[in-house]
Amino acid sequence: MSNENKIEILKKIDLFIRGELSQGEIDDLWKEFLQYPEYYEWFETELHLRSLIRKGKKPNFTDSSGDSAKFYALGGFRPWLFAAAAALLIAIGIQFFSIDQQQALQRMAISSIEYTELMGAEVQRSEEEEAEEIEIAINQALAIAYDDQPALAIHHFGQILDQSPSAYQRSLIEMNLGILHYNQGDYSSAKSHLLSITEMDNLRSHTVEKSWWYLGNTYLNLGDFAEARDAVFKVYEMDGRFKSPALELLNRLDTELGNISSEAPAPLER
Amino acid sequence: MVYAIKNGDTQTANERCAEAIPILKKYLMSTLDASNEDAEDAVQVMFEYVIPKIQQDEINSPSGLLSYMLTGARHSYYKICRDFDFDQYEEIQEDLVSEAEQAWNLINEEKELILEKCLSKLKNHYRELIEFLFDHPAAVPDDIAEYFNISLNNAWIRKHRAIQQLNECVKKIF
Repeated sequence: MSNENKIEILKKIDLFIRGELSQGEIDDLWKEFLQYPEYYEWFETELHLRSLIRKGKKPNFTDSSGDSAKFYALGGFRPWLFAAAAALLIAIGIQFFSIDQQQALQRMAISSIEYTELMGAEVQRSEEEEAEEIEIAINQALAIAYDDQPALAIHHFGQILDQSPSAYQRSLIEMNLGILHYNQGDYSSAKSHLLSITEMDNLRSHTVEKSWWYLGNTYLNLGDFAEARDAVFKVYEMDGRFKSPALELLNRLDTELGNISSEAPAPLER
Repeated sequence: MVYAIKNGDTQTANERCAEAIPILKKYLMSTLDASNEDAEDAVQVMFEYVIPKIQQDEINSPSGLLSYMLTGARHSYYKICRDFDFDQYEEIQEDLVSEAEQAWNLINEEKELILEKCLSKLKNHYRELIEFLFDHPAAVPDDIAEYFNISLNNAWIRKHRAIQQLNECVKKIF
């Protein structure tokens, strides 16, 4: 099922919960639920989430220990126990990091990303003039970045992003924005763009691997070490171009983290 | 289901019915404010009626079946109420649950409690998204896109993935 179809269903669910569908449209939605019971599950989860939001029952994200004890009593689902134990260990471990340790971990990140990693569009003559124009604009913005004007390039890529690019074009733009923001030291923006790529379907595996690799490094710079390890571990598992540096970084991270295990096992533990 | 019933594939037909029953019940509970018991009876009666129709080739297409199931379940429910209490039947005819409130009839407190715990397990940007939604209850996906500086498409996808994660968590426990 494509992302477009999923989004269409989500929009209908959203309108249903808001009470903005007619009775006929509601019946059509229920027919979809009958045909694809998975959609009904999405609806029910969304509905209960909205109910909690309505009641203002915001979860306590910081208190994992007390909640988790009650949580497991409810379901008794054992694998969660291990996940929680791991999460708790990481939380405790990170709490006790000294500033020196934090800096040591952050220094493991690559200092900057080569501009040769920026991605240009393969401009093809197509019947869709608009698509071709976007690809030309991507390459023009790329030329500005090569001309060592990163802020201006970011501005141009941002503008192209607003022109409804295709999924392929968007992946190029988001990657380039991620790299440019990373090199500017704006790791929060870099994270946002690189994460967007990891959420897209049907991309070439080397693009996905590249986004996880730079995302892992972004997390390191942000001090999100558990997330960094998870992202780098994904790169290692993808067995592509960045496997070697990912393995090296994983080992260094685990040494510095004192072999604290996260939800993903270390490569050497396999 | 149509093909399974016509071909005498009882196992597949039963599986499809088992999937449809809880959804049809929820449909009656939300749109007609039916009790759990009445909804169950109505759906059961509907199937007793609809299966011979399929066998007799009166329902040929899956889309026809879906319409038939919804309408049939509604009519079965009306019939249960009419047999039980004619006054109540008239009330139902006149007083369908308003469209704006339909969905909220389906809130289950136990499920809500589990979801609350599942929410606290979310990580990274999914957690950030949920925190944003709690802090901005009226937010629509355009607001999410603007706040997180992502495309509208990605805002929907991110929300969908958060819902999927929560759904998996709830299913494991509920």
